[in-house]
Amino acid sequence: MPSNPDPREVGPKPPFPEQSQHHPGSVHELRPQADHGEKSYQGAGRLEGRIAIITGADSGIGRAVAIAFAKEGANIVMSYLPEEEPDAADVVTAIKNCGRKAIPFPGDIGSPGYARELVDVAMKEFGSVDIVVNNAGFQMTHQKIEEISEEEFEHTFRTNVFGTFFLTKAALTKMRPGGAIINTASIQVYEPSKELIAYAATKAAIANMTKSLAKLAADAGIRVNAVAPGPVWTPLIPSTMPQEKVKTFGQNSLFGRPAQPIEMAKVFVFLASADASYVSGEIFSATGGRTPL
Amino acid sequence: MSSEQNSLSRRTLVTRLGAGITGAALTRAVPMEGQASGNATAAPFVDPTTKYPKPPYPGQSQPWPGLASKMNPRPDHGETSYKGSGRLAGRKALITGGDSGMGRAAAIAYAREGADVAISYYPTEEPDAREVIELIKAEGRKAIPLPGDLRQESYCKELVTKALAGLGGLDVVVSNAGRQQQCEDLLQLTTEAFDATMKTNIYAPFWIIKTALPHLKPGSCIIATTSEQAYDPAANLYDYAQTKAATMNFVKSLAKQFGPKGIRVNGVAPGPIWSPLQVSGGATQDHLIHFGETYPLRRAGQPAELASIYVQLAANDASYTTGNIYGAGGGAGQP
Repeated sequence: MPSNPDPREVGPKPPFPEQSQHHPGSVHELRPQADHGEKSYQGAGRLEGRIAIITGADSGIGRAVAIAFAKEGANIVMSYLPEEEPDAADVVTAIKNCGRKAIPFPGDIGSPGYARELVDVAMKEFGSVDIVVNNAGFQMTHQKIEEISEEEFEHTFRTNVFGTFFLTKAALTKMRPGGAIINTASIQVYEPSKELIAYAATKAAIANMTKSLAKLAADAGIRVNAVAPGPVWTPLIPSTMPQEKVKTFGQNSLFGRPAQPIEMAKVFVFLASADASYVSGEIFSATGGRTPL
Repeated sequence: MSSEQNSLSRRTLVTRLGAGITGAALTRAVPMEGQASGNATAAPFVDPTTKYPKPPYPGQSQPWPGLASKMNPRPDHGETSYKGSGRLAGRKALITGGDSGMGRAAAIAYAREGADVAISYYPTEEPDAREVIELIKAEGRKAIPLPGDLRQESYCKELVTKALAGLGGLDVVVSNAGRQQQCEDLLQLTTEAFDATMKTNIYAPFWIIKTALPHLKPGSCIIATTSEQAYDPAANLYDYAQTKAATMNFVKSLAKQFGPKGIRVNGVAPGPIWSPLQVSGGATQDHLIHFGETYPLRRAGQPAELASIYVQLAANDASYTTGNIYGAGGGAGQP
C-alpha cells in the first residue's frame, strides 16, 4: 500500500450484499470480509512488552485491536462471549503467529466477578496489566420505543457501561504509572440515531466516564481516553440492523464507505502507546467526516 | 522532576548519544528513562506525570517571537527521543512555524518517519530554524527553510510555491504557526495587535491552503493547530482564543469540502505546551511559572509529546479520520 492511499479507496464501498446474522454474529459470515489487520498491519514495537486486556476481542474493532497490539509487541488477555469461540480462536492463532502470547478467557463482561477474574488471569499469567481496552458492546436497532424491552435496555447498559466500569475498577488498582485505559465511544455520543436509543445513551455515558476517570487516574500516572468510531464494518451490523441499512452502510460518510476495523485499531495503538503521554480525558474520533461538536 | 534528576538524565543522554544537538548551557527538558525496558526500545514505559519537568518553572521573558534555544528548561521537541518507523516514507510536508514548539516537533518527527520537510518561520527565528534544518538533513531528508512574514499574502503564496518546487510536490500541509500575545484589558488591545493575530492565525491558513489545494492529490492531508482556547477561552486571550475557535471550525468545513476529493482535514488541540509562544508575550509571568499545574497531569506538555499526533493524523493510520480534532490537554480533555 502506498504511504498516502486515497481514503476513499481504503476499504470496500456500498452497496453491500444482502445478509443477516444472528446476534452476536461472526466475522466469517461477513460479506465482504472485514480487514482486521492480519495481513495489512505492520507493527514497529510501539507496545513492546505491554500486557493488554481487550474485551470483545473476537471480532470487529476488538479483534483488530488485539491483532494490532500483538504486532506492536503486546501480550493479550482476550475477553469475549463463550458463543464467540470460533472467531476468538482465529485471533488466538493470529496473535501467536506474531510471536506473542494470547490468553483466551471467555465470559460476560456484565458480571463484576468475571471482570475481576480477567484481571487475575492477566496478573497470574503476565504479572501486570498495562493496557485495558473496554470495547465489548451490545446494540440493537428498533423502529419503535415499544419494541425495546426493559430487559434489553438494561442488558445494553450492563454490557456497555457496567462492563466498562467493572473492568476499570478491577484493573485500575493493579496498573502501574504509564498504564492506559481506552474506552470505546461512538459517533452516537454526538449524533444519536432514533433507532439506537439505548446504545447511544450508553456511549454518551462512556464518553462522560472517560473524562471523570481520566481526572481520577491521573495522580496514579494512568491515562484514560476513548475512541469514537463512525460506521465500522463488523458483525454487529448485519446482526443488529435491518437489511436496507446494511446494504448502504457507510454511504453517508465523506469517503462513501464504512471504516474497516483495522483503521480504528490504529487509533487505539496511538492512545495506548507512550506517544500519547500528554493525552488523557480525550475522545479521538475517526468518523469518516461526520464532525462531532 | 527535580533539577538533580534532570541533570542526571541529561548526562545519561549525552553519554548515550555521544553529543547533544548544541552545547546547551540551560537545562533541557529531556524525557525520563523508561522503567520496564532497560535497553532503548521504541516503547518506553513511562509515568506521564513525571516524564518531564513540573512547575514551578523559572520566570523568563523574551522579545517576540522568542527562541526555544533560550528557554529554561529547553523544550523537548524530540531531538533525541523521537524514533521513526517509516510511517511517512516519501511524503512531502510543509509545516508553518516549524522552527520551534509543536511545528518543530512535527518537523523532526516527520523527517524521522521518512518525509521531506519545508518549514516556514519568521526571519528572527533563524537560529532555531537552523537547528531544525540540520536535524532534518541528518535523517537524509530534504529540508527547505522558508523564512517570511505570514501576515503577508504574497509570502504565503510564495511559501507554497517554493515548498512545491523544493520538495517536488506536496501532500501534507501543517498549518501550525500562530500569534498569541496576552492582553488583560480589552481597552489596551490595539487594532494593530488584533489585526496581526487575525492575519497570522486566520488569513495565513486561508492563503496557504488555497494556494496548496490545486496541488494536493487524493490521499493528501491538512492538519491545523487549534487549541483548548477554542472551547475554554482565557480572559486575557480574547483575540487568540477566537482565532482558535475559527480554526476548529474551518477544519470541519474544509473536511466536508475536501473529503469527497480524498483529502483529509483535521486539527490538533493542545493544552498548555512549553514553547516560545508562552515566554514571548503569550502568558503572564505568574501563569508561566505555574504553567500546567492545575491540569490532571500537573505539568505543562512538551512539544515532543504532540509530535506523534501530527504523525498519526498525516499517516495512513488516520485513513478514516477527517473533520476531527485530536486533543492533548494533560488530562483535561476536550468537551
